[in-house]
Amino acid sequence: MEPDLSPQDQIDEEAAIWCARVFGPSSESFDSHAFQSWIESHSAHREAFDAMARTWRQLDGMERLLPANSNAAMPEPAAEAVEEAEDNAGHRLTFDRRRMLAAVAVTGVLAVSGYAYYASRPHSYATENGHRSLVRLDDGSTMTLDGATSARFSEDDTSRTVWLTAGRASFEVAHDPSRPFSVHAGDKIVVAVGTSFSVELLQNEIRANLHSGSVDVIDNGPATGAKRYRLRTAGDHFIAQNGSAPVVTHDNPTDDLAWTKGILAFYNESLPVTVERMNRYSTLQVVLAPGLEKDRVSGIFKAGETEKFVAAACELLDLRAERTGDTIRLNAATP
Amino acid sequence: MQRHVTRAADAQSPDSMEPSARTCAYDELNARYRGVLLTFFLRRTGSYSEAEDLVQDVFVRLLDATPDGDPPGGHSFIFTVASNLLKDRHRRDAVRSRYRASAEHIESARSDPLTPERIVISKYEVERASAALNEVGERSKEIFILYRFEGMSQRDIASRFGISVSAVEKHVARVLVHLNKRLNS
Repeated sequence: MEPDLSPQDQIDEEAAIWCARVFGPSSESFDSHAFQSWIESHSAHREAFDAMARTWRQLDGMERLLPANSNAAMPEPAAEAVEEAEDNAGHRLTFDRRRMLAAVAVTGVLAVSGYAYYASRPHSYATENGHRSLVRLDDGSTMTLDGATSARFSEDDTSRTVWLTAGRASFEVAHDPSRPFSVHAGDKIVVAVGTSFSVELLQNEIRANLHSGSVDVIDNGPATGAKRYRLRTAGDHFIAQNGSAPVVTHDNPTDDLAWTKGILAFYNESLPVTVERMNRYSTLQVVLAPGLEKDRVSGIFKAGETEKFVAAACELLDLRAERTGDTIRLNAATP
Repeated sequence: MQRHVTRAADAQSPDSMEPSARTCAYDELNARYRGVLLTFFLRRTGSYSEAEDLVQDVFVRLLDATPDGDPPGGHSFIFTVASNLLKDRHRRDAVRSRYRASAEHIESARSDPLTPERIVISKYEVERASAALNEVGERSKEIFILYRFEGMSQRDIASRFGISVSAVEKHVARVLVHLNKRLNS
């Protein structure tokens, strides 16, 4: 107990503790009789608790809109290798079951639906450089992760949400109109009901490509306020570059899903974007000297064949490659 | 288990045995189940007043079904009644919100309930909340995020940070008190 808390502060703190116990995830040691006698012993307790509960609920859904790097709060890496996804699901089951059993022991409740709440615990998926991975999500949708990609997924009764925190992923969304499927990438949100699309987080831009059906892209950027863009034709591309207004285009003849088969196809693509994509597939990392951002590349490369890509880029764009260890720096040949 | 036999005896009226038996049974139910049922409903509705009303409804139904207040099957029967009440309520709410949805958003009903307006509003709230969250200590903030948003139990957080469960509870409570001050006063 704190020595210099005012009586009201004291009550508020007690209310907050009870509120966290009631609405929080751990119910192992919850003593409902103690809670009842606390809240019914004084009307001030009741009022303080109501206020805390309101605040607690106000935070609902906030995790969806928290900056993606909020998972930096995890004291250890949250990202498990995707190859272990199944293994993971197994762990989660035992974990939930243990928790359910604990809950049963305390309250004697078995026949009731305590599951919905726990179902919204997010799952993390990540691929290393050079790996691709196909993940079946709990709702029946599939997610294909490009190399060096990480994402989290969670669902509840009203929504299915993916946070793409790095790289690129494509989605085949299981149809479920009552629970929109949304992918958060930076300050953009792609919303679908049942369709197929991909979302990519690049250093200086965010893209969404539609493969079938239709999706809404919501631009939640600070400058624009919330704006909605609809992709309705397969092959539509949403491109939002840092510092300029997003555009929707339909002029890319390359196979948008080639990457899922290990082929990187570029059509008049900016050099930084091609480099970033190639870099997802190799320990060999290409960096660009300043001034090359405007260069464009067309071509088809196998994922992982970074050296061939570098050779082609040097040839086509008149560049010079300079290798130090695992880093290849591209410079303009004629400064 | 505490039993309110004395109070029930006081309440006994001379002309009818029935109401007093009911009172007695009510007191007994109240003493045994009020706490767990309050928590049960509170977790699912988020509102204490609503939870209180629903507890009352459960008791009324139980007493109607078994006047002596000793339901067959005990716990499981009581919680079946409780979850049925909750289901009825959800169904009513669902009908209501479906009606509202079809009335207001015929055009966008197919696409999503995440309208730009809603995002703007929630974005403003999130900004306020995350600003408030940034005013607390880094450790408290991490603990709060893990507990509130990542769904990690206090015990797991305690072992991750190498502190006691009650210290975790204190961190969470202090952050919540702070957010409450910033957001609701």
